Amino acid sequence: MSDAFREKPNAERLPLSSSAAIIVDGRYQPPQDKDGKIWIRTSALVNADPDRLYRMWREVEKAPLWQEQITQVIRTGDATSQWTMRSGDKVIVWDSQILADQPARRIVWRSIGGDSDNAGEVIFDLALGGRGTIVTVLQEFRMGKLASAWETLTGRNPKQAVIENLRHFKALAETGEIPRTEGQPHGPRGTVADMKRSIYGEKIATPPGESQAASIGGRQ
Amino acid sequence: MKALCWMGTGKVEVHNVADPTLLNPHDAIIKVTRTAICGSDLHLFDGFIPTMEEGDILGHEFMGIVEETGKEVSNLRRGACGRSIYDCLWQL
Repeated sequence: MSDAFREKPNAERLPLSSSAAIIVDGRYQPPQDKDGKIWIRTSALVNADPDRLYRMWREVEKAPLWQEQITQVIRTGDATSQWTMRSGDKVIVWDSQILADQPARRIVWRSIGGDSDNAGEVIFDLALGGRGTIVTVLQEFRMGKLASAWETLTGRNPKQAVIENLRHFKALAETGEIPRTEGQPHGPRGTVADMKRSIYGEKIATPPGESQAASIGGRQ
Repeated sequence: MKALCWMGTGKVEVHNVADPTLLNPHDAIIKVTRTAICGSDLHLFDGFIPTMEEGDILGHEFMGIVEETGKEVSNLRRGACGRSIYDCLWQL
């Protein structure tokens, strides 16, 4: 992967002492995986205007509707919130702070304590020809390679979770619901299928989406 | 209902499975009266799609009668003729 691809566009200066970012020549450099951090960059074209998508993302209390395994988000201040994530029997809680907040343009955040060390940025770019908004998400997590591999095998690697969450975000923004097949019938599953379902993260519940009916249906 | 299930590369079987349920408000349940095989079914059959799992139900080229609709569905009603989304897309 080229260095250019590793650069985080539009990122503002973060504190040099930051535990979740490295600044080189005034530009944000996502750390190498060897630093015990993993990072992900993904994007989606969403058929909605940047302002609406910005507001949807900024409404952090509603994140559990479209983010996997996030069970509760409490706003603790203008720019701070507390996040609760449940993965199987494991519950982790962390606080998050918004570092940059440009309506209809971008949001930058990082964790400020708790069980997760992460940072992220979302950028809303108006797509050409009235085709909606290009949503780019960059996120990084302090996590060793071994832990990362373990997460991949047993549930959802945080990298993949970011990709899946953006997919859910797009579905919810465009249709008001998140399509799901969990709870629908299937033929007999063998041992291999069971293993695949675990590796592909299909045992992780699809977030409920906007509708209450969906959240009830999803748990069947 | 009866369903054609993918059970491995080059192996499909008809199984009796539970009836489908409405999960989302825009869902619809169609009772299939006629169905066909699509060229893309062959990619699944031949094992080129790594996310296929034993027990997955095949089929997306069908027509039938609308059995049930989610509460947000306004353009279909029970008893009407329904087609798969793929057929509808082809007509755009």
